[in-house]
Amino acid sequence: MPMSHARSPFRRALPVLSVGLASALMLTGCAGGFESTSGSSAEAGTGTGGKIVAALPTDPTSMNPVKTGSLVVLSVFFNTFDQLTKITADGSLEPKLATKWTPNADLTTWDFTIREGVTFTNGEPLTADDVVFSFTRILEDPTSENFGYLSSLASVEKVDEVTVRFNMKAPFSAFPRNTSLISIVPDQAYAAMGPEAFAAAPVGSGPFKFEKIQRGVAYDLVRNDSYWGEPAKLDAVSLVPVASDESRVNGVLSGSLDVAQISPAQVEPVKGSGAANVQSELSNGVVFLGVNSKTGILADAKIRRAIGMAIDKKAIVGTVLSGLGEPATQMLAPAVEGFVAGLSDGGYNPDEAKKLLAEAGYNGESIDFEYALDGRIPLSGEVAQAIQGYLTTAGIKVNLVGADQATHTLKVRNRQMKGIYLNTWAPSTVDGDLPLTDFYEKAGNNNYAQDPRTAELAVKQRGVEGKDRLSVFDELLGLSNEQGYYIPLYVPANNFAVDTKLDWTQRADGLYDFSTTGLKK
Amino acid sequence: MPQYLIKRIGQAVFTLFCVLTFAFVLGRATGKPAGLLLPDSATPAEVDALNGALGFNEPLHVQYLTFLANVLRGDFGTSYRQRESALALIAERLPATFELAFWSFLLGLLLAVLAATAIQLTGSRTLRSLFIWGGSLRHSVPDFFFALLAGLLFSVALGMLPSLGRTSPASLVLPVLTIATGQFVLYVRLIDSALSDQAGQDYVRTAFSKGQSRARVLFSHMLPNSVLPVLTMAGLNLGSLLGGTVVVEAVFAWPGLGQVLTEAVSQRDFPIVQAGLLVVALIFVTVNLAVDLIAAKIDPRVSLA
Repeated sequence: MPMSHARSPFRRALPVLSVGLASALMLTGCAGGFESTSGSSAEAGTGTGGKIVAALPTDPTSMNPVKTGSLVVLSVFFNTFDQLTKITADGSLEPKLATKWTPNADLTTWDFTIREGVTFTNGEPLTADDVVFSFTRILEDPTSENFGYLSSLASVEKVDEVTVRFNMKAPFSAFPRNTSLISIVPDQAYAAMGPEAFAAAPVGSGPFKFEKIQRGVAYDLVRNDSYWGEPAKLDAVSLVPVASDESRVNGVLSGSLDVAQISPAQVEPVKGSGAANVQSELSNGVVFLGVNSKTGILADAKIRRAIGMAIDKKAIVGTVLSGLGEPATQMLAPAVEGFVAGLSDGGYNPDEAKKLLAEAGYNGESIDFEYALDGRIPLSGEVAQAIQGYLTTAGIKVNLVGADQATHTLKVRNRQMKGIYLNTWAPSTVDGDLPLTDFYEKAGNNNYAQDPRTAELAVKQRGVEGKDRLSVFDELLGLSNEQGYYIPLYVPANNFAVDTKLDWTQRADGLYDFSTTGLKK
Repeated sequence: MPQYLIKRIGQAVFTLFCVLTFAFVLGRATGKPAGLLLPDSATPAEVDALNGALGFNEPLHVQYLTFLANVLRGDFGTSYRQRESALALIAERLPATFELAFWSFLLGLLLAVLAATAIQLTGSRTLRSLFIWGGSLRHSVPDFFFALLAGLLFSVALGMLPSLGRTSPASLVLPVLTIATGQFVLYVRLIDSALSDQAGQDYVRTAFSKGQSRARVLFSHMLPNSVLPVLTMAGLNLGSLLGGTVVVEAVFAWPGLGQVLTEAVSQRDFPIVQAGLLVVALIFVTVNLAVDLIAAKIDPRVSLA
């Protein structure tokens, strides 16, 4: 067969191939298009305050504060919206949109006075109506992630132009702290736009305003020059979701990022590089062992106490966590309201543990120990293995079961744990009410013990304030330790790699608030 | 031809139906998702209410039939977390994934063609060993590790390229380099062996005996005839690249399909998982069909009956 160029198979296919290729390139070309608003590192831009890029651990689900309230999204909302109150970096409560708040005598209603002269970035004035609207919308929507923060709230009403009244279902002394998580949206704009359009172009009243939202890529904020409070120092902030630990570290070291949370294992390498600073602050959370105290040998308080005493928490913090944390003595972190100074959980006492096991007649029965392989607790696998090691040394047989974080969380939620399990609780309100409700009240996810006394105390702390409240916490947390309903392990630090030029105050909850952040001269 | 097309489309629809059913069944086997959607402070009653609102308290077969009926209407539901159309959320990520997939694919293939033709032109065994060994060495390093090393070298140490994100054309370099170098050896082997096959054929000998140059024979005769085996392999690869490159996307925080799918799986956001898997399957089926059609176009011996 003569070779003819006109009939070469390649020539024949050429049009097909080139059309395919061209259309493929057009597809990426049309829809692609790089956006160059983010990506630069701490630098003085055209303004004077500079611009930073901060990493978020996951991509926020939505920019609609009525619907979403997860931790990662609060790192955006604290900068772009106002809440009635504010928890400061050291955990204390401060006025924000509300100038003062007063309860009635039995703590069943709270009157908040709303700051005057505040406007949203669309020019709409912020009034009592917006506050009522924002809270009511959440109360009406059980699918809102914020619904759980307002489970104590029955209704909201406007008293006058500057006063909003919150009616509780039962006395609740810590309610003002819960309001620090609820962002106030402009009622007219929200109603006119609807939830989807609002999420695409959110309007707030915070120190920064949204400039551009590119989901999964960057949330670009610029300073709100008409902010009612002290104006932000930075010109712009770009919040970039980066899921991988390693990528966050590389991002800061290479200058793509200016601040990012890192794992305890990465602290030394970052320090050693000299390219970035490391900031570590004790968090608001406690990592603990939950106990199904209703089944098998764990029904015996002596066994539960023995497990607690067999674990050398100090050594775990020192070695596994490289010292980035401290042993916990109770189910609240020191930064959290309700923490009882001086309370002891018996400490590390392997001899006492063995004695208790003997008294309980422990006979080598195996205990399931479930943990999540990755996710919410950094180095959870290593921590779980260390615990298993200590328990084995004490003569307790442990069957280690790992699962992914979602499966683990669902098991916690459905109270399906059979033995002991690794878990953590960090209240964004930096108050003991949320975790202790979950630990000790009847409906609590972690409450296997169902002790009526702890449930009673958990309710009681809501009806009292100040010193009286602390004494209830004292009794409750002490009782929990004595009974070994939970085994508090440690309070981890939140660790951040931070650009050397950045002057940023870290919050106990590890969330971002850039309202006072600036660049060093 | 039309009959063939109808048959293939029928097969594709069946494949997609199977994918959807798998996605549904496996998703439901992992439990009701509301516990993951609400904060820790939510009570079991609140969790149960949300599960009810999402339709998880219905019997399984009712859920499945509702799901299929909705899919037939083109409705993949609303993401549990984002509360937006799942299909729209997936579509939003396609450009980033396509961009990464096409450039990686093109670069990998181009490098391989260059390498294979260089081997043939020089006839050098050393060159062949060099490319195949080098490519195999790169291929044996997992992508995530290579990606991290590349990031450490080019971003952290040299400061030449951004280490993450999709902010400028420079952002493309490291992820594309990672994928393209990883695929390089697969293509080199294929093209090289195809070319070597051709080299022994009569028509090549004839061409040489006519006095044609080595380059002329290679480019006009051998290369076109080697396209067919490469095409099939490349098509499969392209299909899987277009389905999202999970690992590379994770390392470089590339906002593609893989990222949104892994996140949705770990959050049990079933509408996104279902819509995403369907889109991936659709891409795969389409690319395969396109490859078959192109193959038939190129080589009349391939019958489409």
